Amino acid sequence: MTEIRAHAEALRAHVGARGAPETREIERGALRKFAVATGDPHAAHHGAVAAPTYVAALRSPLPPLPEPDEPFRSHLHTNDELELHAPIRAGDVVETTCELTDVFVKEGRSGPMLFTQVTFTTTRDGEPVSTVAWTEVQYG
Amino acid sequence: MSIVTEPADLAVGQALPAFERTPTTTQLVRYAGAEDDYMPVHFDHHYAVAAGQRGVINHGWLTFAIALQSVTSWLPPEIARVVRSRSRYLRPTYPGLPLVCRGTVTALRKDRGARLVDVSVEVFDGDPIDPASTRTATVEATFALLPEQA
Repeated sequence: MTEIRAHAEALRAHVGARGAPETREIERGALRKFAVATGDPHAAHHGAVAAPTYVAALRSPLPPLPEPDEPFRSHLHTNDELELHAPIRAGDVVETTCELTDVFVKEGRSGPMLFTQVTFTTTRDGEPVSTVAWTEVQYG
Repeated sequence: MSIVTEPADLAVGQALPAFERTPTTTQLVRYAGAEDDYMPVHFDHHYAVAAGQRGVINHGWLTFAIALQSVTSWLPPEIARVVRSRSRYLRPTYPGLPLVCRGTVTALRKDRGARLVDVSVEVFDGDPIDPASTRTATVEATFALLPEQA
């Protein structure tokens, strides 16, 4: 089985790697579903304007990266960050690019833990709309 | 003070109104579809137990959304919009248990002409004053007052 440290080393060589940009149209129905799923109290978020954390759904694939032989036992979110440069509205056409921005290992109570940060940058007509940094931890 | 209607209502140190939500397993399924997050730890009990959890766990981003709602329910989008936020998950949370949000205004400041409101929210798995409750997440957020408010 792949060791956490060996896997981290293999991944670290890819920090800065970017996936192909993905273009999508923001759908009214998708905004509404998101607002319903989160119990959002604001009528505007039920179709017209994206709720602040809707940017979690604006993802695009990473380029191929090294994978462990078997998935590690646990895989969780630890930190999320968002920056919203402009409101996102139904009908907007946006472009999202994904980048592997950080890889590091911390020693946990039951062994090494692998942290990876992926950053999603979304633009509209070339202007920044949102930046989302998503950090996950894997161990075991 | 249930909802902010003008910037004069804001003060540093102010405690936000109490806010509590209890996600259900059905809500997790809905959320998985709405965010396109199909990590099995959020819907497959056996997978979650094998991964060391008591059962399926809430999506971190759902906790994040609820923590921000605890602010926007009081400082609504007609007055201010979120410009930056950061969520830190301290331990997994489970559907069927309450997420109790306790927010505080930490700063009122200006940046390049924008009037900003910094808020810090702590999320507990029960009444924060009950010693049996645990802090499960922290969320920091900066809101910009809309131009007509600023």
